[in-house]
Amino acid sequence: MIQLSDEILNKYIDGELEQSVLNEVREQLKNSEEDRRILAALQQVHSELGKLKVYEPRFDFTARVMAHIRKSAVKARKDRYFIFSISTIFILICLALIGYVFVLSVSSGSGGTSTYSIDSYISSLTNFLESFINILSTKNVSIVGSIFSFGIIITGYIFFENLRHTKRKLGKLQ
Amino acid sequence: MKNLTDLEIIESIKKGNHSDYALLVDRYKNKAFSMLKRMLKNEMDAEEVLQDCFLKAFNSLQSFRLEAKFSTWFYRIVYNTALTKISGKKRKIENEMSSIDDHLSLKSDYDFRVTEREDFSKFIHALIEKLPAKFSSVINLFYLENMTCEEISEIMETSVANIKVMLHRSRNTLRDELMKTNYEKELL
Repeated sequence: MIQLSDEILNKYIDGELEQSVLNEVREQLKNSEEDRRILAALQQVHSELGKLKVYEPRFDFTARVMAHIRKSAVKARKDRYFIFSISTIFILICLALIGYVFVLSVSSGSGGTSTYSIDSYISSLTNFLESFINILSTKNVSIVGSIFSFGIIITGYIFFENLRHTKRKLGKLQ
Repeated sequence: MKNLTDLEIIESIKKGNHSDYALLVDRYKNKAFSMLKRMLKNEMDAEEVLQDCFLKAFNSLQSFRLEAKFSTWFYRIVYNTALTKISGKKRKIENEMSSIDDHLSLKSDYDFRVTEREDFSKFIHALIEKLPAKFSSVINLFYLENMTCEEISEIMETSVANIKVMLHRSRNTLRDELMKTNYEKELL
């Protein structure tokens, strides 16, 4: 004779019992009114759980979610523009710096000749590198620092403007 | 459009058709809302968390692997966000949800009279609303979403055996409450 535990009864409901155990359970149910009573209650609970109520959020829920997504997409686009503009400023500053150094090196090394040979290119490159090292030397470091500081100030200004603009927009929404 | 599978919709969204996400929202909002309402016991919180879940899912959609099942992935977000909300509200999660050895005691406020079948149904449903968060999420996923214990264990990041224990314990508790009323005699 098998003892019908809660676990066995639950497995019976879920159809998880092996055939040999299932036969024993059926036999036990035939003989015990108490077990039949417990099983009937469990089956009723199982059946009611199958009719679980589905709740619905407010009717405009989907529209609100999609509005949020659109808003965050616009914000992401703005952020991309912001990063792009900052990067552009830095790249332009660096290019200007390199251009300036290049002009310095060409003007100091050319000596008025107009012939283009591998030697002249190598000497120009050497001059360029020397000028670049010179410009980063202690003598000129203040100039380079000033240029980068100027870039950081511009970046900061754009960043705070962007922040102010976003806050104003959020304020309007609230 | 409504006949598209979840994966087809996701592919379309990944291609840039963001408005197709509304199809997924419409498809999952009711069942996920039911689960959240039963976990959080509060309609406003449930709606707020659900909106948060849909936004999180949208933002993470690019990292979603197409060989995975969207429903499992999405319900994991829902379940974890609900847990965060509960812990944020300083509820005692450990006592309420984490241990399968927890004592599950339910007491319905429903004025139960053994008169009609409808009464019994209302009684049971009133008790279901009172199940602790972890137990109610198992019940919701198993009965509303027709998920297997394996899928639920993936969502709740626990073993299949734990899920089965929680499922059985929920049923047994409801059955015990029912038997206290002697209503089951009417059923035989």
